[in-house]
Amino acid sequence: MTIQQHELPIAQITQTIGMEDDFLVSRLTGKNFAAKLQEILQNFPEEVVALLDFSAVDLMDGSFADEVFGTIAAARGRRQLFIAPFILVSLNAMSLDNLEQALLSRPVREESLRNCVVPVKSEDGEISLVGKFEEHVQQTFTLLNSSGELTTREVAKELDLGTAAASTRLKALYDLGLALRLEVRDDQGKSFVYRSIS
Amino acid sequence: MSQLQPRDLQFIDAVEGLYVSLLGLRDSSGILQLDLKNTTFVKPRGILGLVTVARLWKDWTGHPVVVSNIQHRVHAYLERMDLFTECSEFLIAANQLDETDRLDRSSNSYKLLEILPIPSDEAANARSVPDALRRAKHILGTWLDDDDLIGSVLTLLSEIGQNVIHSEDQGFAIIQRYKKPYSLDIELASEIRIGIADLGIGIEESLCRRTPSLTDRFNEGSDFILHALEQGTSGHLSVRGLGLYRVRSLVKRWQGSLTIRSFSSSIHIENDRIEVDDTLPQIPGVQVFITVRGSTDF
Repeated sequence: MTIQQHELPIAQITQTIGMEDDFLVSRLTGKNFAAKLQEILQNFPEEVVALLDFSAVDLMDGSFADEVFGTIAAARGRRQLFIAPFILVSLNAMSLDNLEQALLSRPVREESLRNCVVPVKSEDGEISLVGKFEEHVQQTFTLLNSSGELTTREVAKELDLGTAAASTRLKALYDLGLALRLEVRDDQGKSFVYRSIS
Repeated sequence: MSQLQPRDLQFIDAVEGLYVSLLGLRDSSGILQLDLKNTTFVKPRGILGLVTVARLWKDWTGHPVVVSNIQHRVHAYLERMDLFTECSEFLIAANQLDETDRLDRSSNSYKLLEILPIPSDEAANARSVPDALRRAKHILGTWLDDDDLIGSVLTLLSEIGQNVIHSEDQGFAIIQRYKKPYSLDIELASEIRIGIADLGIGIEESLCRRTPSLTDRFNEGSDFILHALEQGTSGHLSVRGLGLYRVRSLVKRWQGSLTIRSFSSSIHIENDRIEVDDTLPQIPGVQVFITVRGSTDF
């Protein structure tokens, strides 16, 4: 099964909640936007990654970013939200800065939150993690992106880990929306293959 | 009819002096005549001082403030700021400005963004702030050739515009650009000043409603203002706790200054130095004044 990336222009969401797509500001607007975004992503088919296209956005401020992506990333960090993975694309520098500050501030306000992160695609096509995340998240994310697809056994071998630790790492990426997971059944039973979202 | 004749309102002391004089008239009634013959220049703080005085007076007496003896240049500027049209319910010019004295309104001709009412109702605020940002973006684009600085100014306006929701009172915002042709540092030779003022519940009351225990921790009004600038102020997720913290970090990035005044307290931050004052005249609400600096290229 191949991974599909589906472009989702911001306007496609803003139009449904009666707002324009140039200035994404305020918590109230963010709440409405977040509800619509989650609804769309919950109905995405498996193995499809949404590319949230910000090219028409002049500014996303910190309040909006916190309400939408801070809320989603925190819920994923607590393993309370399971929606299709998404990547933010064509964010301008200020919006990216506001997003990063919002995501970094979440763990300050929620002390037990260890990861609050979203993937962002830069102009050169690289996908980087923005927000607060543990070192092992970055390490496994980088490994998965370079490999394209990994099993627990492969991660254990590459990173010199036990099987349980490797499994935990891959599951963490999946829970954070940073990897796709495919169930495989063979003679030895059920297992998972994790795929890069890039 | 009551009368006041403030000193030159380009100076902060004169604005604060005007507040002191106003509070002395608390039990008066009727129209207040404000004689501006001493005012030779007005900055955002002076304009929002006029708005604050006139709104307070209207609240107290039901009557407007009539401004008289306005010097031509000041009058032209206040008209250009739309002060007497946006604030016509409570602020009236005693004399009309001659048509020939009016300043050009083309976006390239002047370095300001007219006074903007910002509603405190959350839904109205969410509609109003993007409109304000569109106007600001249009005019900033004629001043600046630096997307990063434009984005920062828009973020600052957005954050302080949304902050009036906590004050529970309408705010008024303005933006003004200044050039300093004789500045020694060409990278800092231009300034953009942003100001916003409301007459709401203020920072202390707003914070204490959400976190009552703060009253045990802090004594002075400035303590509450400084607390509002910290990241994750209350630990409650619905709390903003991000806006003023973000404002502070952006102001620092652009080597600017930040002044926040609420009731009798104020804090002023510039170059990591913090000045506090808890002895100001008791004016309700919150006033925020921001200066960011950039090169003369813009």
